[in-house]
Amino acid sequence: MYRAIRGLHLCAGAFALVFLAMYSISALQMTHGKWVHMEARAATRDVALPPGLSGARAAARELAARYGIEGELAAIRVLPAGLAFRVLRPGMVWEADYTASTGATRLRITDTGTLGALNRIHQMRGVWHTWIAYDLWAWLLAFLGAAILALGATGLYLWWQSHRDRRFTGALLIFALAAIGGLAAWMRW
Amino acid sequence: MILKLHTWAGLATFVNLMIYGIVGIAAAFEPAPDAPAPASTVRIVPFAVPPNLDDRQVAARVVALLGLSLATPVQSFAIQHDAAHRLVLDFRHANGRHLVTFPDDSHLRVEITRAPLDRYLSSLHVTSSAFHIGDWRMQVWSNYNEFAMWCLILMTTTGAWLWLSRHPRHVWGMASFAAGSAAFAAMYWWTR
Repeated sequence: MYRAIRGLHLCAGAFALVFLAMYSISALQMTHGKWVHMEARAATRDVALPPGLSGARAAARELAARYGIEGELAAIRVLPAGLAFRVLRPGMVWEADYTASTGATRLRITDTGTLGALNRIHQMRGVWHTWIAYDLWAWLLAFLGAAILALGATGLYLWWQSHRDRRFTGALLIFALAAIGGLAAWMRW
Repeated sequence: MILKLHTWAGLATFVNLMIYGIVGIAAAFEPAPDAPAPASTVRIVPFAVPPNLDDRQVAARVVALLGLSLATPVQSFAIQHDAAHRLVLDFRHANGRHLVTFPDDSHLRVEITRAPLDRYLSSLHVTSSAFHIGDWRMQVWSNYNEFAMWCLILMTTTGAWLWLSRHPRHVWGMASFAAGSAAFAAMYWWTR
């Protein structure tokens, strides 16, 4: 039993290793931006889409087919002259201004690099996106959440089985459960 | 010693670690932005607006009256005005939202939207020592959560070291690492 649980702990940790590294780097970037500084590069690009497109989805489909710019469609606005919308990928934003009469489209591109991508992946949520890749990220990170719970549960079992003298380590756990868990429950009250 | 550090870090931050896991799972089930807002309740509370107070001072009095210490210090965005330039206080905090209006000179109308448990835990998991919150409990929690973040980094590195130093040829371990790395790399390559 012990060997099986230890194997499960190892497998959950090994599977989660790259994701935990991603979480660590992005958490440091979000909480200590001065140390792990994310920089954004901005650019503009003019592209041509068919005139007369009535919806952002159609315009986004054309962007993907003609220029390979595919991602999550967001921030759609209907303007007197056409459309404005955003296409999002982790660390990249294409902000499009589409003129319906001519099809001329100006793209404002913001690239926040690898740190920006990790930041976005860390905050991925929901399975209701227009781009299936975002849903897959959310499912994958949910699986990671389950792996983290498994790491905690199996870690607790391994600790209990492998420590005969549990005075110090038991006090640590009781502190975590009573003081820190109690604090979280108290604030929710 | 490495194993001790790994164990101590895990035990000391066990609650935080469980919250990270729950929040990760719950995030996938978060409702879409256009989903109906959670139900709110309305309370009418006696409150006389004292004369000669500015909006921020009124907000501070309201926070004290309603016991909204988690919404302190009062942020500028919480102090708003409607189209008729009447004061509107929009307090957002870990437990949800209190939207306060002033229907007359002697009452508050408080619209309370309570955050579901997963949203509350999500709020807890994002706090760090960079936060400066008026509520001492949340400040303690934030500092401890910062500690938990460093412990998670420590556990990740010591866990990898323990694996490679003690069980480097564990077939299922290697397979799991390959699967996790491949999944991340494929998704990153596709979506980046």
